[in-house]
Amino acid sequence: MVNSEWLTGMTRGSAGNVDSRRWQASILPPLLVFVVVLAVWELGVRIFQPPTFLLPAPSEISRTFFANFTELWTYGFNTFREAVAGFALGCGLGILVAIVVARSEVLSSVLLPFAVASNSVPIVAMAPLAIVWFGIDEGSKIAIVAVMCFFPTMVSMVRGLRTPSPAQVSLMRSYAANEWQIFRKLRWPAAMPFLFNAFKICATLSMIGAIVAEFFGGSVKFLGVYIKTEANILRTQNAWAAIIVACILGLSFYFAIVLLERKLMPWFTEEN
Amino acid sequence: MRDASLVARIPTQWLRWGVALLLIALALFLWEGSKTFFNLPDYKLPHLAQIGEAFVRPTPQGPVWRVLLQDTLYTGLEAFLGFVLGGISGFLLAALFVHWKPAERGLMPYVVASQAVPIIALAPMIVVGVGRLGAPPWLSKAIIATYLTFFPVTINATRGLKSVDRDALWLMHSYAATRQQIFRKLRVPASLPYLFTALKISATASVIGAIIGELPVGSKRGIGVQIVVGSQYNTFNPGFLWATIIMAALLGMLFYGVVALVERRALHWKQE
Amino acid sequence: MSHIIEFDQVWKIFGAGESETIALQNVDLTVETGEFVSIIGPSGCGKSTLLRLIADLLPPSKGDIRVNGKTPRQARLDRDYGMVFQAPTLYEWRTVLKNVELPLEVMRSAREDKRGRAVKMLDLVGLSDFQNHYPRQLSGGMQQRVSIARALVFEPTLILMDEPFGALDEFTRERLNLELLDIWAETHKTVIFVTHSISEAVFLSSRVVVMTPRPGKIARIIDIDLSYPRNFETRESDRFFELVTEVRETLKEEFTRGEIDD
Repeated sequence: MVNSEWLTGMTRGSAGNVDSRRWQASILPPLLVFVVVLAVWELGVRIFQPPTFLLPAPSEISRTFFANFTELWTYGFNTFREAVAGFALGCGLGILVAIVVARSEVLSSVLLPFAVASNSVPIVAMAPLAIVWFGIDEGSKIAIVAVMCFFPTMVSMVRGLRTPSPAQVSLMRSYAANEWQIFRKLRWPAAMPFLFNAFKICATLSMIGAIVAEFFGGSVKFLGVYIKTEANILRTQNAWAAIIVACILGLSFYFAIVLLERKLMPWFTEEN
Repeated sequence: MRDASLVARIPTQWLRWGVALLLIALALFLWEGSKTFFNLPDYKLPHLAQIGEAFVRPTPQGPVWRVLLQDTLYTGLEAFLGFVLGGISGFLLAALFVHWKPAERGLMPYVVASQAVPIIALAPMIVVGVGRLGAPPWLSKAIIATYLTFFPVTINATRGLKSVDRDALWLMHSYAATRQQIFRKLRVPASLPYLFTALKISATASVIGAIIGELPVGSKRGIGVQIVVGSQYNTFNPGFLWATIIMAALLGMLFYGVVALVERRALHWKQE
Repeated sequence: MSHIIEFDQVWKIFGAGESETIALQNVDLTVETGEFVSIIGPSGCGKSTLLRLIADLLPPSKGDIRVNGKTPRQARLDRDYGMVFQAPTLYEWRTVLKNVELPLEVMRSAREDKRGRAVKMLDLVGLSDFQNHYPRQLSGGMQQRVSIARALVFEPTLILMDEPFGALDEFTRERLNLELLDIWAETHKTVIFVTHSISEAVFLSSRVVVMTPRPGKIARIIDIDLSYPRNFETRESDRFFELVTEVRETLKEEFTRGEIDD
């Protein structure tokens, strides 16, 4: 879903070699929109002066962002650590389970629908349970993120490991390859694009999961709790500044995965 | 591949139901088993009977299950409203993107980026801001569900509306079809598979959005409120938190299920 | 007026500057009403481009094109031609019948009229029993027959076919060739048929236009003097082989010359 020419194109553009056509077609228009929206927002707030809790001016938000810089980024990285830990745990378990499940045709075809259906369960709503189990601190947030990352990773990985056609497997068998070699040289590389697709989804999910789990309670030194409290006491500009931090961290995580994907799978191009 | 041939001959549908029952039985067994084995306190893992008992416990407003059902429906309505509004506005924006390139160039990058960023973090500010304006309490939840639906639908509907192949388009030109005819008879039907992919994601997202919107203090109705209440009284009534979370999960599954059902009817021309 | 298509010194150039490619160079061509004309050549010779210029799906860069004595644009707006692509290009969400009705819907024909004409066309291509099937339920050959019915249903004077049988197996292709000739005899349409199969071109056509690539131009126009109706025996006649050889020799000559250019 997230996978788009634009998101990936941005990293490609920054590697230099931005020709003028590219500039006009894909960079200038969004930049223009950005400037116009910001200008209208700022002017609108100055002219109509809505209460700050409803909509603070961009200038106000940026002032807050820099005034509370250390504080915001400390909270940001506290939340980010939860997200990354949960991501690692959930994706890791997902991969391991998938390797086992994918070995059996029946097991995969029977289990996969359930794993897919788990997408429909609002997992974050279980945050209070996680708090009961793992405490109000990082533990419960990491657990929620891990559960959220587990299912998409497992589903993609099972699908990926099962993509090689019978003909491709037969080819390996004709070389008298053993199960391990078939896994290592055929199934695993075939699953890589699927795995990275899941990683990209989970990168976003993990930030969402961590922040939303924090909405259910925790120390104020975390983004989610901070956003919630500041919004409640009507210091909306602080909450907005915190959201900017969350967005930067979310995008960075996503792009880190994209870069890793490029590095590890140079043979795989974006064109589906 | 190495599964016993006897198992392989049973229809997959039956197998799925069988496995579902088996999984449920296994889960219940593990539940009660681990409770005894690890000697888990009730507030961490209540007896299954305690959850059942929590559902039927009487209150001044009637038995708990009826109260929870009403709250779940309330949340469901908020989510549904947002789902419909977000779906319609997302599709309309996609239609604009397809017919007017500058709009797509300027706005699409932001729509795509929204998917890599925890936009749900805006929820507390929307609840507080809209609440302060004196709007009805369901409105802010519906707004959250709306924007969570809006972005995925915009992306996928745009992709779907553009997914028509060149010859299919040329065919229409050869009939001297109007733009409107091309849109109605070609682009819209071609976009449906893409649209439903997004709607399934959004169905769950809108439920999550509505629940998250109910978390801030001051909310009075909805299953989100009940989850918070449940976590507060977990020590006294350990089954209740589980009961609220089960209701939230059922709501998510209902939304997803209905969309999946409509999809199956609408796309019957695709493969069986 | 019997010239249904006239090309007068037509050029088609794609791109500009260094990336400029001449797809068609100075093409002169006249087609009479009721003819079956095949255009043959290796890929990149501009044969599909030529078809798309007639269909007004592309504009010419230079020169003049007349279709039914009108500009291609006017001819398209008047729905003078029906188009058949290499891929059947059926709308997968419509039943076979609804696919054949599509052009009539777009052209806003009356309802019962629509149904009746679509049924008649499906009858013509031998698919009456499959009206309510969806495209995915049909074989490739059947799908292409639906696509032919769809091109005929609004009774255009001209049928443009762009390698319609290119993706089919040899047996299906030969059977559909025969069916197409029957339909042509029955409906008296003019057919412009793009192909890269020599025997198909010779078997079907009253004239074969041989084209060469880079830049795309007409090498020769060969009259096919085999009598209609043609059948399986036609393919085994000596004259058929002579004509196939003639086309192949023309292509070979031009092909070797083209290779030296590169």
